[in-house]
Amino acid sequence: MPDVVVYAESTEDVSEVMKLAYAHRIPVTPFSGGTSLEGHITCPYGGICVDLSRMDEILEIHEEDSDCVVQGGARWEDINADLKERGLGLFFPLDPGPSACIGGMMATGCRWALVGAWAQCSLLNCSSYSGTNAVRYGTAKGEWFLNAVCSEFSLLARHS
Amino acid sequence: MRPLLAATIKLAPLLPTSVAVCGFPGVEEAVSAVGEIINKGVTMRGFASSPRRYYPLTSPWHHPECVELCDTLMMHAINKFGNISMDLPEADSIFFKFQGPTAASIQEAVGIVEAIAKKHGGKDLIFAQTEEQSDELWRARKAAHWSAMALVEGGTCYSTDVCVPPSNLPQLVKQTKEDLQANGICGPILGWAE
Repeated sequence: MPDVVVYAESTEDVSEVMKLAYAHRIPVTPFSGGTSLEGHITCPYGGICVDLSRMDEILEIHEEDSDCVVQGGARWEDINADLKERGLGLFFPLDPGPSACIGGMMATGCRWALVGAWAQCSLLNCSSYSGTNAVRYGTAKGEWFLNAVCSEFSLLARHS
Repeated sequence: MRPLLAATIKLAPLLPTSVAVCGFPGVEEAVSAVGEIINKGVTMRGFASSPRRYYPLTSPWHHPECVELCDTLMMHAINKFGNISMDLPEADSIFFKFQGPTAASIQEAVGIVEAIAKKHGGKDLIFAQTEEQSDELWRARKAAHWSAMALVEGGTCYSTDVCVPPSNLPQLVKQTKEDLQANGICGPILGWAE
C-alpha cells in the first residue's frame, strides 16, 4: 500500500511530486485505470501513489495524420466515444479491459524500459497489453503508440 | 522511471463490422478452427491501398477484427449475468467480429470463416441483427470476467494466461477443461486470438 495518494491534475502537480520524491528518495507508483493484471500498481515499498486519472483529456487530434495526443489518464473507451461523436471515422483499436488508461496500456506494452510508469512493470509480462482487437491490430507493444511525454525526473529502476 | 503524462497514439479507420457467434462440439474443435482461420487470411484489397491515410498492418493477412473463445460455462455465465436480450446457445463457442470497408468484403470473410467452422463441426453462425445487438453482444463479452465471477457467490476469480505453440493450443484447452471438470473447479474459459 502507498503511504499517500496524490491526485494530479496537471503536469506541474506531477513535477512537484517527482521533485519531492527525488530529493527524499521516496518510491513513486503511478496509477490511473487500476486494471493491471501484472502487479504494476502494487506498492511494496510504500511511498507516494500519483493518481493520474484526472489527467484524462484529448489534447489534439490530427485527422489527416490519423493520430491524436492524449493525457496519460485518458481511457480508451472515452477516446473512442469522443472520436465517434466528432464523426471523424477514426478510432483507437487497442481494447483491453474496460476503464484501462493510455498510460497503463503503454507501460504494460512497452515494459519497464520505456517510461516505467508502473514501478512493478515486470520483464516477465508477455501479454503486452492485449485486447479483443489484437488479432487484427496487434498489441500495445506494436506501432500504436507513437511517442510519450514523461515527467522530468527519473527514479532508480526497480526490479520486481 | 517516470510517470507518463501524455502520448501520441495512432488511429485506425472506423469500418463497418458484423458480429456473430458459432457453436462447436468442443473447445478443441473451436480452437482448431481458429488456428486454421488465422492461417488462411482474408483478402481486403481496398482497405490496404487507401491513398489518404496510412495505418500500419501488423501482419500480411487481414484477419477478422476479433476472434474470441467462450466455453460452455462462460456462455452460461453470459446468458445468466451478461444482461443481454439474445438467448445464446450454451456451447463451446467462438465470437467473431468481421470488419471491412464494404459489405462485399465482410461477406467474403464470412464465407471463408463459415466454411472452416463447418469443417471443424461448427454450427451456423448466429449474427447480431442490428448495431444495438452487436454492441450488446460485444459488451457482454467484454464484461465476461464479471459474469463469470457471479457464478460463485462470494467467490474470488483467479485468471491466468497460457503461451504455447499454436499447434498445441487445441489439445491444451481441451485438457485444461477436462482437468477443471474432473476436479470440480468452476473454471469458465475465455480466450482471444492475437
